[in-house]
Amino acid sequence: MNDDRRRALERFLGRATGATAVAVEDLRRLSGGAVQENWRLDLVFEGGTRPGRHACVLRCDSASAGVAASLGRAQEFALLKAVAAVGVTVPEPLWLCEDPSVLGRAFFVMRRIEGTAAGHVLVKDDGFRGDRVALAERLGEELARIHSIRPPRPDLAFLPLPDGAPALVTIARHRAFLDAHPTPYPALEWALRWLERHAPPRGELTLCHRDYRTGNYMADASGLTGILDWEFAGWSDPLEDVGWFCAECWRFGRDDREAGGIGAREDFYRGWERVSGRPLDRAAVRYWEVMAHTTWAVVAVQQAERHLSGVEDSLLLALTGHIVPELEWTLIAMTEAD
Amino acid sequence: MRERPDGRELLAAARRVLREKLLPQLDPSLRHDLLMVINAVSIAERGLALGPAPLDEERRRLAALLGEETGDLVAASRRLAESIRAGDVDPGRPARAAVLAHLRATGRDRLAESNPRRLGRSGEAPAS
Repeated sequence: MNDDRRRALERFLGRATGATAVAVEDLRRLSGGAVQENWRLDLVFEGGTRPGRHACVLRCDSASAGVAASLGRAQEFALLKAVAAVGVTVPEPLWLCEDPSVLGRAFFVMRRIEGTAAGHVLVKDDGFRGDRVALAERLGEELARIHSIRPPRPDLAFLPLPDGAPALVTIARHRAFLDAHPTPYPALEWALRWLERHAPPRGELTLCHRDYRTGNYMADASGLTGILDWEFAGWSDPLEDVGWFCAECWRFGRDDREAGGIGAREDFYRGWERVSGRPLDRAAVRYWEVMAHTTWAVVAVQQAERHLSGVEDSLLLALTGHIVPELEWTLIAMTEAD
Repeated sequence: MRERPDGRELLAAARRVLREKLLPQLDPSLRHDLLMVINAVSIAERGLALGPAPLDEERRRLAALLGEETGDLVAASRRLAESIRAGDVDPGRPARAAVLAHLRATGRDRLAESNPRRLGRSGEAPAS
């Protein structure tokens, strides 16, 4: 970010807060994020609505992303506002700027949170993330708060309502992708047929995170510090998130801890039930674990395709294609009986 | 004749250098990248070791399932996928057991290349 941009950012923040002086300090780009750029920065305000020093992160579309993606930051900001308002632990969303004359693209600033999001670190027994039973329970509570948001919501009108049962909508989307893909995947078709035959009817829709798993929240020694990665959020069956969190493919090798490699299912369910005030239908979760493995397999094929097509040369994406057989193996075992 | 060591043997030697010499010396921030490289080399090595036999077997099984000659593996596999989607192998249908056996056999062969450790984990693999 050059000095002109930086001064434009300071002027924008001055207008947003009414501060008499604004300084952007210790600005540096964070790694990761192909579609977004993340910058860490400290903001120092004199006067205005938030005087003092603030540890922040600025998120903007990457320089190569098109105009269509610029709407994404405004939507993500609206989602963070909505979930923060019901008490979900997220990085506090502070300022949104959709005026491209400031940084050249839309961006928002949120409060910086500390800790690690690395799944293989979080499942280890070394105190990085505090007490694991407490964390599993807390993650259940957080998820129930997300699920307390129901349509219609004018502030979240950009999220489309599923046209029918959410499971069937997802199945149709996966099939459309597979139809257009040069490689057939008979084992994924087997799983999708099982999912179609066992699909639950459309029940009450809630806001769902749709990527709620170990690896997408941050924790430190004191426990949870924030839920991240909201770009797949949408209206769906709340058990979709529960199944995604508990699915074997997101336990980072700790299969003995079925809730995200962190705790027991009952730890996680207990937290969800306490905050939602409703019993969690345990038997219905398994369906969504089959869906989780299927969706992750389809996404893995898509990620490998990003590499193969030359959109993004990445060994990580290339290797992701090679987890498909493992996911299919699990899917056959889960669906062969009925 | 090709020179020996061949591609597979060279990859095996390269993998040992990466794992035994470079990995212990490497800056921890780069460890994950090197582990990915080692994984990629291992997959390529296993693919060369297995050769075309698994694909020939898959083609043979598909021919038996579909009752037709299958020169084109992709086209035959696509027909099987369509048949599964159409419900032809739902519970109670006569073709179900044979298709399931094919999916397991194909899955086992693909895992042998991509992630053979998954085959070794007990209690989770589909019964064969």
